[in-house]
Amino acid sequence: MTAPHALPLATASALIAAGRLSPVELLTDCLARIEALEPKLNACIRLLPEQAMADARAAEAEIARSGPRSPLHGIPVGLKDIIDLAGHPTTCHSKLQLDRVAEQDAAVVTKLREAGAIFPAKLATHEFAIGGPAFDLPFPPARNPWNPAHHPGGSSSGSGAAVGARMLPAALGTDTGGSVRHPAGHCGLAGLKPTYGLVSRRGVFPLAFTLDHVGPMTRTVRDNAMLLNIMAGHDPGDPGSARHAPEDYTRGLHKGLKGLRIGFVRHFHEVDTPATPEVAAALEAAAALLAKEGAVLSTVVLPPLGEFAAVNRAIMLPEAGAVHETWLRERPGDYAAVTRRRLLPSQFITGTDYVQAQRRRRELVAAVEAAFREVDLLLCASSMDPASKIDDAAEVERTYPRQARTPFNVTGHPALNIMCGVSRAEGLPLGMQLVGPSFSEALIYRAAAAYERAAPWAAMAPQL
Amino acid sequence: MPDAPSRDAILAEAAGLGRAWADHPADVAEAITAAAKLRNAFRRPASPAAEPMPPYAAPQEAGA
Repeated sequence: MTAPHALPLATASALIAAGRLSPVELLTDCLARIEALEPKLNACIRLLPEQAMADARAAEAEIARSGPRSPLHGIPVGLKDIIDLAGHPTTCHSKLQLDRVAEQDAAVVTKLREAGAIFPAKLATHEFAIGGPAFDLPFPPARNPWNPAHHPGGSSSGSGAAVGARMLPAALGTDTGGSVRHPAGHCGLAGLKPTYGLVSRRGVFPLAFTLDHVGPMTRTVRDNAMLLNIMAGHDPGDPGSARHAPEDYTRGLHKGLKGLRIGFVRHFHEVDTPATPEVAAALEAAAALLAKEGAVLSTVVLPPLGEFAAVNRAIMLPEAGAVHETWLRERPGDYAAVTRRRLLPSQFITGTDYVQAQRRRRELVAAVEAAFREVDLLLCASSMDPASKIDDAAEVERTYPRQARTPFNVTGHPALNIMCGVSRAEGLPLGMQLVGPSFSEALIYRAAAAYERAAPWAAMAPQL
Repeated sequence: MPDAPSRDAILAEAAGLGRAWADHPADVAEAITAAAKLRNAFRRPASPAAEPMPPYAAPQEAGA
């Protein structure tokens, strides 16, 4: 029998509902897995085993008495440590926030808690969701479960590492310039940046108000959809929250690809930021498989990737700079060096530049909206390289920006990373993105699930 | 007569980053260069009437 920690969320959920697996057994096995692997991976900032076990026992009793509240009842979910969990510090992986104890759960945590989820760990992140892998912080950086000599992507690095390593069936990340999809890509996961405003950001430490998203990270597409079912919904306490009617994101997972029009944005990885041959080949193979399964593929041209990236930075930095202004002035030495270097430009971008970027943003949104009048979904690269070695600072610095995720933070469209290959030399996962019109998460999941069924990657796991 | 402060020192002081300039001058100098480079990295909209996104939100009437 498969060990409980190795079960995808949907399988564990079905076994719990059938009375064949208890939340206590599942949590016990996950905690044992964490204990065994944490010294290698540094995925967790804070473990909460006592509280989680008490919640698992309560879930077990309630499920035995009256059945599960939801498919997440009794399921352990990890939280990136910029997301508030009442009564515990939200450190943001930073010396500057070590003692800030959250008084309330983040809105998204409240939703998951009401659905019966359990929270056994706060997970590593790049400092304030903007730094990079750093060795000069109070906690070590998370490592890649497929090869711990390499980074797991970021900034939701601990979420990627923990779910990739089968420590936890699911985790939450946040995504301002690709920070859910980057670790999802490097850890072989499904990671969704939902439509802007679909998931509340209340109680999540801000990086950039108009670009921040909270998203689910899981091993399978179905698991991801199940988590989003609970996470999505209007929150009057979040000024950026959308009013969108609830829907079941699992409803179309079986429907397949037949007739779906998918536009392949080849110039992102062929011209704008050339991918390694291995990544390019994996993307072409994925496109061919999508077509074989019934999708109608075409080539789509969007504005250059570099312009999306520049607009993202020109918006993200001043917004982050407003949040960090006092610390940058008074305690610049308390950031990791990499975080300080990334944040300091925020103080030198003019108000004019910021507004110009927001004006150009509207044009970029219109360009992507125009593409969606011709196709149902877009296919494009995620990272242009496999994850580099974590201690090779120059290579981390070179490869981190070589990606195609920021366009959809700028435009707010939903984008899902899924695995599409493995690098031969290092045995590291490669990822691709499926992107859709606003609020088309169900359609993205439908296409991704069909690809996942047809491709061999879902059966692969890191050898730890 | 003391040396005139450098351009970067003046910009750092104007941005309120005196301490960062004193303790991490190379980081501040790099930040000034990066911000200047970003200025030319994207196209400005040609139309003077192009609105930023998101727009300023108009107040909603009660019951609307």
